[in-house]
Amino acid sequence: MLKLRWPARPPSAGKSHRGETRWFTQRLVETSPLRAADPRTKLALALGASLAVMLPLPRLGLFLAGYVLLVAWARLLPEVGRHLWRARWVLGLLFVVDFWLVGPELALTISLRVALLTGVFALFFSTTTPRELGLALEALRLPYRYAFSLTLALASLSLLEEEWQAIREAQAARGVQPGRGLRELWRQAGDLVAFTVPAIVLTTRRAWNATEAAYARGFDSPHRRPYQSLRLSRLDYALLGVCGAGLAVLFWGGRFLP
Amino acid sequence: MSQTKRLLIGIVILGGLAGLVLSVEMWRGAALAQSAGAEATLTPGAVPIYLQGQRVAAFEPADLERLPLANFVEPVENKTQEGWLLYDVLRLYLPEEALLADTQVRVISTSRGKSAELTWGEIADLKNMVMFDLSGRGTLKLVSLLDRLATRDQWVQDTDRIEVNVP
Amino acid sequence: MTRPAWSGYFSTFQLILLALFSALIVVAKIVLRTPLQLPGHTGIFWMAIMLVATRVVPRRGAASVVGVTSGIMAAFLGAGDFGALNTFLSYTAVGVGVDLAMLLLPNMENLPQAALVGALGHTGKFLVKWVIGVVAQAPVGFLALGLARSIAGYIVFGALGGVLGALTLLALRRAGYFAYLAEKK
Repeated sequence: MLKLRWPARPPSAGKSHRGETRWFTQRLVETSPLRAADPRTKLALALGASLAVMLPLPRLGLFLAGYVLLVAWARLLPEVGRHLWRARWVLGLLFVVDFWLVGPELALTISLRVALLTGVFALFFSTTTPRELGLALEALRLPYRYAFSLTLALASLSLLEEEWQAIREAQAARGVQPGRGLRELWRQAGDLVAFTVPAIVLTTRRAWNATEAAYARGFDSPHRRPYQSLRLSRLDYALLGVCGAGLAVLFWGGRFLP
Repeated sequence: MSQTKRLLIGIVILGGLAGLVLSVEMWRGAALAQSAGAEATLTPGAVPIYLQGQRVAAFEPADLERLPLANFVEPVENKTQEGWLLYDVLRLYLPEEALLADTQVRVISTSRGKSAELTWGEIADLKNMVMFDLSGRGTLKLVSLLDRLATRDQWVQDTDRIEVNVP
Repeated sequence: MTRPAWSGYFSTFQLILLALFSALIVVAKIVLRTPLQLPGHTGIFWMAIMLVATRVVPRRGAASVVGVTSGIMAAFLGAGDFGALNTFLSYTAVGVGVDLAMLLLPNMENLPQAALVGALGHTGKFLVKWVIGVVAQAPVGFLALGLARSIAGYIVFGALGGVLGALTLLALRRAGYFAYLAEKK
């Protein structure tokens, strides 16, 4: 599994130049066969799988069996597992309370539905780069300028994080820190402005520089053509066909299914 | 509009949203308590009816008087079966919204380890004559003109449980 | 390729600015954690930035753009404990909530108005979490556990965020930020 950060890998992975741990890393699973699939296909798969929460328990069970096979094939089991692990307490509590108040069938159904929703978008987000996300949004007819802004913002996360950290440290050196109680926080509201004002100003400057740079490179030209574009491959058609047919059978399979 | 009025409207909306959430939760709590307490109690000889896994009613011998009689001659043994249509029984106890064409109805005899799965569509098709016949021992036996319930070994004798599941 | 009619509603600079504000929200949510362990406490900085964004890009829908964009980014990074859909909807609800509240209370440099807009917007996030709980048939006992406390937390921290946003806007005005911004448009 490759931990990718944008815009480029820093010299020391996982650390900023000041040696702090960075939060904003995308867990991109480079080894997944879904990396080769079109992001639109992956988005459709994730959305389709989300619809499965409407299925009754026996069919939901069948769906989950297929879903686990797909996730295993895509080598995303650890990723989905990570999402589920984070929600373990709530899932567990949900199951126990539902079991106690209503019954085992509802407890199982609800827990499986929530678990499915928790992990299903890992199919998309763990196998798609920000650039591919931008291309997918563009291909879905979102304005190019919006897709570009989003990609740019995703690429800026690490830089913004460093800026926030620097502001926080500078203010802490002056004795300004968020309070521990509500009353203290209210008293300090004025001090907290010292966090937000520099961040807003720096962000505005960054936005202006990005706009200037983009225009200098012919952004918004009337004859602009994308450098990269998406095209559905055989893998995409196969994935859409198999998964679509599976969902259709589960939803409209009638009496042939449990 | 003055600022005071705007602020008041805003506060009312905020309070309304909070009130809505708390009211819905209270209503949900009350509904849950009611459904837990309203689980049908059983009398000896009654056949419990489960909807989505929850016991909602019990088909009692006394209720048979409220139902019209039906009969047909079954073709294998040329014997007349007389009793009460499952269609009438379920309509007596279950709400209309639970009885959809693909609602699954399972009639079970736990003592004999037998069961029959039917859809509401099949039951509501009165040509199929899905019905209970009263056996000599005073227990209910599910019979029908449907192919899979046509012979004696396919009938569900000593029915003691009905499960209904809405997909 | 023809552009949709609404694609020119925001200028490129405004879109980039809103997208970067969205990134700022996602970062602030993680980096600027207060030591408070109360529901919704991260809303302080979140709502402040959201309110500033609506004044910096004074067009209807700016908050919704920030909400949707930060939702996509947070979902992309795997933030939140209940999956991408929940994360996306929560962030989006805040933006839409702020835009709706601003129809009634448009002056973000006015402290009471900003506080109320912050509270209403942040309550939108709570509503999404609650509706998902109801749709998922989460048991009442589980949800009711501290439900009133949770609503109060979202309202209070949203309002605090609104106040912080208004104070930030006033500070930015004093610092000549808006004059600087006017040159950039």
